[in-house]
Amino acid sequence: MEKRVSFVHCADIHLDAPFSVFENENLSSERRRDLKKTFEKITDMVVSENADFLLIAGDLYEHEYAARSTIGWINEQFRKLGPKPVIIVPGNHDPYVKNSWYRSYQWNDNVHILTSENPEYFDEKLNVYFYGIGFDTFLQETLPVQKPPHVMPGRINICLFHGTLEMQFTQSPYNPIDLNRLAGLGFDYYALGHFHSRSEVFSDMGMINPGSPEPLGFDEKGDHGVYLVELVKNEKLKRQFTFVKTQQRAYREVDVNVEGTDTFDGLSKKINEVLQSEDSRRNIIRINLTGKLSPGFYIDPELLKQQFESACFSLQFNDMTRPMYDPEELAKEKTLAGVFVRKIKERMEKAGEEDRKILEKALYLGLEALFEGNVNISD
Amino acid sequence: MKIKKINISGFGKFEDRQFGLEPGMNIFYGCNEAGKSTLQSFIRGMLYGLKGGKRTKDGVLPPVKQYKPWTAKAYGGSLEYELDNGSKYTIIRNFDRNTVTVYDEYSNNITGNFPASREEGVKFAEQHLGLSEGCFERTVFIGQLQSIINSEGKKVIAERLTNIKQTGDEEVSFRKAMDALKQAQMTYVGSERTTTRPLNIISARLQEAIEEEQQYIKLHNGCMDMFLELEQLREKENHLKTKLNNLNLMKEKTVKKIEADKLENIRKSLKNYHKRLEEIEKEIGSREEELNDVLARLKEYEAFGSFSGNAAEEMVSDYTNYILLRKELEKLETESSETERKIREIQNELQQYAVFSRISSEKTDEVIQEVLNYNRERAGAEKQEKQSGGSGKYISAAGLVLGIIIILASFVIRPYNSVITTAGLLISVLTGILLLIAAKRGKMPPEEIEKRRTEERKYLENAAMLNKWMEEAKADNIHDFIRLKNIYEDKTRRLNELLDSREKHNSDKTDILKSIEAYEARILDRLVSANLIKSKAFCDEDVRKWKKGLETYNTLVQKEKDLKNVLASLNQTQESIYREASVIAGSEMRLSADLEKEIDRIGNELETLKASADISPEGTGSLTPDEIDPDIKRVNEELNDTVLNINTLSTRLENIPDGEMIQKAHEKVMILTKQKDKKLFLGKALETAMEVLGEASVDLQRNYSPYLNEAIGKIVDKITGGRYSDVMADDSLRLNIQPPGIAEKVVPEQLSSGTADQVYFALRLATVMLIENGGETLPLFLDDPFVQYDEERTANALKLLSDESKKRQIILFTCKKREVELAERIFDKEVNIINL
Repeated sequence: MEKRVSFVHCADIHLDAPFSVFENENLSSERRRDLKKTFEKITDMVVSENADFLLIAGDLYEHEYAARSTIGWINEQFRKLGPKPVIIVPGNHDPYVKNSWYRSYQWNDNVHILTSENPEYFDEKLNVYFYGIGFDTFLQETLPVQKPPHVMPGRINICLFHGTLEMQFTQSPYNPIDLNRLAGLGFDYYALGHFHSRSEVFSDMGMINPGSPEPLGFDEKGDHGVYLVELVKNEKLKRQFTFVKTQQRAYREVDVNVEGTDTFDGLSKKINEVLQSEDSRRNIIRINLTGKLSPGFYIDPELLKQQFESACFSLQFNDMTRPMYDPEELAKEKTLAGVFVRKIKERMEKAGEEDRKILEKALYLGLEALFEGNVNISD
Repeated sequence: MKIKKINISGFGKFEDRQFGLEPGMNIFYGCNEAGKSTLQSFIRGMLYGLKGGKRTKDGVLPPVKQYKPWTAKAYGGSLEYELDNGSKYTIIRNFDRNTVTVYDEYSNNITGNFPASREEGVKFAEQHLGLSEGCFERTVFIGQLQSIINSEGKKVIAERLTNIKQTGDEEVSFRKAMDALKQAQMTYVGSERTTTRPLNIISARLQEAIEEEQQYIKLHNGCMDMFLELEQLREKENHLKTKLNNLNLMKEKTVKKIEADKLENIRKSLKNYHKRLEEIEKEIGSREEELNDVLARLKEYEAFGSFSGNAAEEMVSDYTNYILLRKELEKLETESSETERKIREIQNELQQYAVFSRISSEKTDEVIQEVLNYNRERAGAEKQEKQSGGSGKYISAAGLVLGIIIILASFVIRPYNSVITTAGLLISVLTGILLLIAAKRGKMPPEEIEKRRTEERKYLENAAMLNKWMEEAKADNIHDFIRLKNIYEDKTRRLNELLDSREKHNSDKTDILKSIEAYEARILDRLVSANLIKSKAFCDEDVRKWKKGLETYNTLVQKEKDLKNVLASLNQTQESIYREASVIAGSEMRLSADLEKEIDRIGNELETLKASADISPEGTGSLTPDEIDPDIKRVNEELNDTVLNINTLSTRLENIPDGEMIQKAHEKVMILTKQKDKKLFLGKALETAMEVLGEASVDLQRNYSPYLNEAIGKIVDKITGGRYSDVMADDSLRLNIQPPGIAEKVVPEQLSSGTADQVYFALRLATVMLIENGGETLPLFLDDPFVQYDEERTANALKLLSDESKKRQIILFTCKKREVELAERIFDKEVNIINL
């Protein structure tokens, strides 16, 4: 008999997460509202697409930050789904710890939380078996010991997994599991979570990592959303999945080379171009100012920010410019500057990444002090 | 630079003094305390200013206070000098006000042309001499040559030497760069020692933010824990509610069970009552039947109903008396016929004694008596009297005894016979009376004796009569007559007696008959009443029947009474059972049917109870409601406590602020951490820059050591007359000398003191030369440098100075006249000697 289900698979929503990239706390609040909007979009989608259920593969909310009102709000969203099941596996940000909301909150009847204590749920009506591997603690270096799954061919079997797929080189303290071992469990679909960038790499094994439906930082570029999945099972299993973008905003990081620019107007022009092309009113923009500064031309990122802020949702400048000195040339001199440059370079060769940054900064500061007799620091 | 004029308005001991100086050798000569040091301080002070402030650590006054003039009003003066390029300057200072004015040779105030700082004042000397005060002091001021350069001095000189060489052409100052970096560090970063710098401010804010975040985290966790607790309390509440419910059910069941038991007991009692009632009713039925029989029979005997209670006794008594009387009558009739026969007999006999019947016996007795009395008066008649009297007495006594015996016997012999008693009594009374009569008889009164004469006359008459009678009676004599008479009298008496007896018999017979009739009448009356006979005759059998009938009647009456009593008692019992049943059932029970109905009703109720009591979650065991109550109370209390806790906790939770505080606090921490990291990064970069710059400078200095060494070598060679020429100074300006013919290098201290001094002097000179580095030629200030020198060495040194004085101004302070003279000789009068 043919079995057919369709569902929405999401993960890593991180409701109520703090956002430390914004110096303006209103923006952080706005981003938290964005998370809620995105989540609402997801639950709405379950209804509008007439999906059978909703899968949340961990990190639905931030245990350490989630407000009571937010938990209530989440439950409200679930309530809107009526009888459609919501299957949740706790992640490392919302682990099934002692005082977890998953324990202490009275969730709707359609909400099923799969924990190490109770990792399975079978929906008779849909004939779908759910099995979850999630987090009991914030850091879980080995998989939680739990009841083995009961995968049966006569039904659709879905595994929710929040953690790290252990491949040859990765080692992670977050639920590491060997890819083949996971695949070997024989589920029809693996709803993964934990990594914020979406991945269909193992989709042929039925594994999808939807990533965060709303990006949470500059390290989460690209499109963000959830998967609408359809499984059809008769003699053969047919999986069909569609990525649906849900994000409210995107993180955009752009380099602007200031070399050859020695006026504020010139720089403004370049920046304006970037802001326009990156939809700065919606997106979160970070501009890396690079290149060598013309002599006597200094950049004050704070001032720049003030200049352009009004046209942006969030704008940051990262001053990576360097003074117009030529350390290579200077190193050749038998002057104090020459000795200084050589010594810095010697140190840099031995230094780690962090120290190298410090040394590089020290280099330009020293040269500026030597040549200008003062140090210009943009704070 | 050459100092041309020193003009002191007031400085230490000096007041309004002027000194003119020559471009070459100048010697200030004065004994100790003449003011050599003060003068040196004045020159230095004029160029670089005097340090103010408080006392130094070792208690020395700061220079500005130390040199405050003792008497002069002004504190300061002027200094004129000329630079190598020929430009001339006049410096005017007022140390009191800490003011300085620089004039050029045209008296222009050019003070403003020089950089100035609040702490160091106008920095003209630095510019004109190309070196700082420290450097100036440590290089151009030379004291006793053995106390050469202290470590602090060495550092200053080394830095100066470094600067001279490498930054000179490029106009880059190491010092300036270091200052700039330090300045930047202080301005933009700060350090752990500072408190008000950006890093400190950020650190403090961060600390504050962290604490705030911690508070929110604590609040958040507390809140989560409370929520968990609340959830657990809610679970507990449900659990307790179920428990309470179960207990209540259990109690209800127990109550029902008890109720059922009670009902069962009532039913049982009622059944018992019912059974008893049935028995009683049956009993009543049979008794009533019995009673009816008795009543029916009583009807038969109802004639007996008119008899009194002792009728039976009366009947017996009557009948017995009747029989007795009948027998008595028979006897009496027998006796009567006997008496009749005897009467006839006696009457027949009395016909022989007719005479006595004609005369009265009293007359006869009177005649005989008189005759006899007359005769007895002669023969004493006492004896007779006594004899007759005595025998009477005995007879009477015997009769009395006999009567008494009969009475007693009548009482002893059974059955009692009243007739016998009466007979005994009669006999006794009679004999008693006889006895009394006999006793009365006896003595004659004495008066009667006189009557005898009368009696005698009468006698004769009587005797005649008597004789006549005797004849008639055919009596032989008187005595015979008397005897006859007595017989007659006896017989008469006997007859009388019999007649009496007959009379009595007849009377008795009448009485008896009367009695018999009375009895007979009564008996008959009864018998008739009892319908036993119709005629007036009855027999024993009738009486017996009557008796039997009465007995039966009485028995029946008794039986009726008994039965009625029994029935009454049964009814009473029945009533009391109904009463008890009513009490037990709680409703009025009047009939057996009521009871049955009640029993049925209770039965139904029991069924219902049992049916409902069976639906229980737990077995009740043998618990009673009283035993369950404490549990219910306890659980209830626990439940109330739990509900209270829930409410308290809910209220507390409601009052805990909910929102984004924790995120915002965290974000603040993150932002400040980032800012701090940035500052730390900058600080590290600046520190690294300074550190590396320092290292680079030391490296450079090391590179300049050969120059220094070369210069020293030349000077030492000159001083020692070529004995020592190979002198090396290390990074920290420690000297090593290669003595001639010795393989190893030695430190100056290993040489003779004179040689050592020479070497150090050479070092100082070389240092000055190197520091100048083709810049402004510096004057050399020597303060008693040759204290330990012998004359030859002093001369050699002076010669060295003489060469030197051709290019530079030398100002020598000494207290030795000998040195002054030596100088005059060596310098060939080209020496400016100033006496202090």
